[in-house]
Amino acid sequence: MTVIAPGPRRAAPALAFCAFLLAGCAGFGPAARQALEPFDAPVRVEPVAFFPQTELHCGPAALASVLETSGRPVNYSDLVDRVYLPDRGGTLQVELLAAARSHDRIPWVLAPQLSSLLAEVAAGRPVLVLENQGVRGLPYWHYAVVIGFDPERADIIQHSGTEAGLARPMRRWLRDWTLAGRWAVVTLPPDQLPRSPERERWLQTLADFEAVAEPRAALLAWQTAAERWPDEPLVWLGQGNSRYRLGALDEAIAAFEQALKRNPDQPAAAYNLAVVLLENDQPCRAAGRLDALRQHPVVGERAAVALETARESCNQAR
Amino acid sequence: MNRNRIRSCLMACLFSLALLPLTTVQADAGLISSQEALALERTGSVEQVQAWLQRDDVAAELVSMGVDPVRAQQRVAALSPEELDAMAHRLDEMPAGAGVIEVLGVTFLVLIVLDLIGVLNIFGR
Repeated sequence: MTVIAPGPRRAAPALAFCAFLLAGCAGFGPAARQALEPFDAPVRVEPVAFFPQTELHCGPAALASVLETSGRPVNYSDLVDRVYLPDRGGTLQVELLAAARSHDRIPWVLAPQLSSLLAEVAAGRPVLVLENQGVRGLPYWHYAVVIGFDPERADIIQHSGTEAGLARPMRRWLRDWTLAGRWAVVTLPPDQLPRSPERERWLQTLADFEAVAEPRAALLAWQTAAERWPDEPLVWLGQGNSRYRLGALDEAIAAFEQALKRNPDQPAAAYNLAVVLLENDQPCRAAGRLDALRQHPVVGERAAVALETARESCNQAR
Repeated sequence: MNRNRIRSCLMACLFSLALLPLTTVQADAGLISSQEALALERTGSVEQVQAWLQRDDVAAELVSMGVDPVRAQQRVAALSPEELDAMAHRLDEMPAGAGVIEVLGVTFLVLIVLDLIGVLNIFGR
């Protein structure tokens, strides 16, 4: 509802209102019915921490709820300062994801389907969702936490605003959720995988997590991924990076070697291995690695610089 | 209005200066991060430096929108390069989740009524 046809001025609001009502009827199609089909009894995650929102703070309230339920205690007013944007009078989606990372939780944006959301709830995880309670042209954005659903009554159950365990007709709720792009997020502890992690997207999610989280949490996340995809070089590179940040050089070396075993041409693993070897008093081995990287279009420059140091130390050691 | 503009520009400049040392430290960090490794694998280049430059801009923008400067720095530091890029270019279009339906329901009805009786002109042309 973005274009309003020319005509009597007073027709416009009436049109908008009709669109509002019509939109309310859309959304509960065969796909939704199919998504509910596998469930024959109500599902409810319990207990899910509830933070009644203070004015305009549904973002921090919803985030606090999913973080606490994932085992990460939070300070509500601190969270408000982390994600609330005063001039916008609300909270941006990307800042919720960022704040989850800062709390050592992996933010995983679900595929935009009801079935993905229900699967996470059934797996015991509350899901943070964005809703548009207005209309397309006049949106009213709101965050809530889905904590359960009732397939028979076709209800969705959520912590929303100042109400805990609010049951809403699925049809109404689906309309609000769909108008907000079906955005849904779970915040996972580092030792868990979501119900359906798509490999490429999960690797990117972990790489973004590694850049922010404590090294111990990042290490755990890479180890968990390595159990699922042991042949993926990046999960070993990630472990090496986290080990290095924890000061465990021998283990970091072993991890980078594992990465190279899976893909001998991975320049990042080769370079990182060389840097850690150098730091671990093995300059001659490092020099060999770096020499091979000198011609690489991207890491070549860095490799050349490190190579000089490595050669110097290697010659002294002889 | 104009004054506000100048003030926020000034703040942005000052803030960027304050962030400079941070930027260089990170650009020189020892190992290749997994983020960089993925970028290298997928695009053949490491575009992190560009993202770090945007970090200063976005932090300054947050400050001009009422966020405490130290907090703004923390907040942008936790964004992924992709999120940072989105905030640098589409901040105004991004939804900002705020409140609950009751507030809206009332506001919406009041707006419609006001528009219908001709006090406001929101929906018309």
